[in-house]
Amino acid sequence: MRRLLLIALFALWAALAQERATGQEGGSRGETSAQPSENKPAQESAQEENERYAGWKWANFGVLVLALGYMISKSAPQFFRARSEAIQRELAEAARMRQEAEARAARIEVRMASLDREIQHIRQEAQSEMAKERERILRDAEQHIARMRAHAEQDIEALSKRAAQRLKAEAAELAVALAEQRIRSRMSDRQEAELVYRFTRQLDRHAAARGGLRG
Amino acid sequence: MISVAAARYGNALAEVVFAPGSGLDARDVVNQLCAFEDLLDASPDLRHVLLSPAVIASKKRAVAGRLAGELGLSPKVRNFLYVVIDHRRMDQISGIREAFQESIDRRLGVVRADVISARELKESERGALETGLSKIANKRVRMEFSVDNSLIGGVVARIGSIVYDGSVRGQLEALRRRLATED
Repeated sequence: MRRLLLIALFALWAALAQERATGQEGGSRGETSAQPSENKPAQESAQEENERYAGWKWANFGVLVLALGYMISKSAPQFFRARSEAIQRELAEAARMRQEAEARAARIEVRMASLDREIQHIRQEAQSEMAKERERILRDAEQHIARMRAHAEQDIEALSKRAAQRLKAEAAELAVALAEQRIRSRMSDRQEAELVYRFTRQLDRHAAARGGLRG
Repeated sequence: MISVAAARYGNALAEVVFAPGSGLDARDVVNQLCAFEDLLDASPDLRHVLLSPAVIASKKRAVAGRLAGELGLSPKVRNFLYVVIDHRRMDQISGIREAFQESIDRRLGVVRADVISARELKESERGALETGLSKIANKRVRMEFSVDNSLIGGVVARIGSIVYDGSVRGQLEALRRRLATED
């Protein structure tokens, strides 16, 4: 590639040199045209000189072309072969990459397809878990409610029992107070004496029972 | 509640009374102590003089000696009071008397029976109760009678820790308990 560049530069230089030579000739012809009558013989002599060196110029050009052709023919096949190989390699690489990309795309598609299934599976599992959790929460709530109800019933029962006992105690208190009032108002000396007598009889009976037990 | 110190003094006096040749009757000694105690309770000034730590023992002795003469206390009882004064235990004279009574009761084989009635009992009733309680205790009993109007009627007797309740109050209480607990 570098060699081709050198050749091209050389060809350009040669062409520019040729052009410059041609230009100098033209310039000298212009100066002479300003004075057509005086420079006419010089013009003609230049033309003649030009025609005389035209063959050399063409030969020079031919040598240049041959040199360029030689150099090009020597390096171009190798260059184009390398280039062709590189292109083929790149094509092969591109084909390989394409295959890989296709394989990857296929794998991704497969995974995408399985991902859907997996998502579905996860969703089903989540729904199942949610249903189980819901059942568990409901069951716990029912148990809690049952416990609370049992406690409430026990509390109510205890409270009602206590209230009934208190009521009964108050009723008994009132009844006894009323009885005490009536007994106190009706108590006479005779009745008191009767009570003392009964008590002494009870003591006698008790003593007799104890004596019997001792005997 | 008899304190330990009072029990010690009461037992010591009982030892003196029951000592051979003491010439003292235990019941008389109890009565003498009760008379002195009643006098002490009746006169706050006397009580103050005999109980105050500001009054010296010799003056207390003089006062007690004079009272003993007026009350007709035996010399041994008077001397016992001197001992109590010297040891500054006059504030426990009631406990000492109770401890002495218990001590002589034990020595004489007598048990104390507290009888509470709604009114004053007649002598015949007291006698009947004493007989009944003696039979139950199987010992002679020393009756201590008192009146409590809240009993409404009847009698409550107590020997030691055993209570015999023949009062209207007790029957009403039993009725109240039965009514309150019946279903």
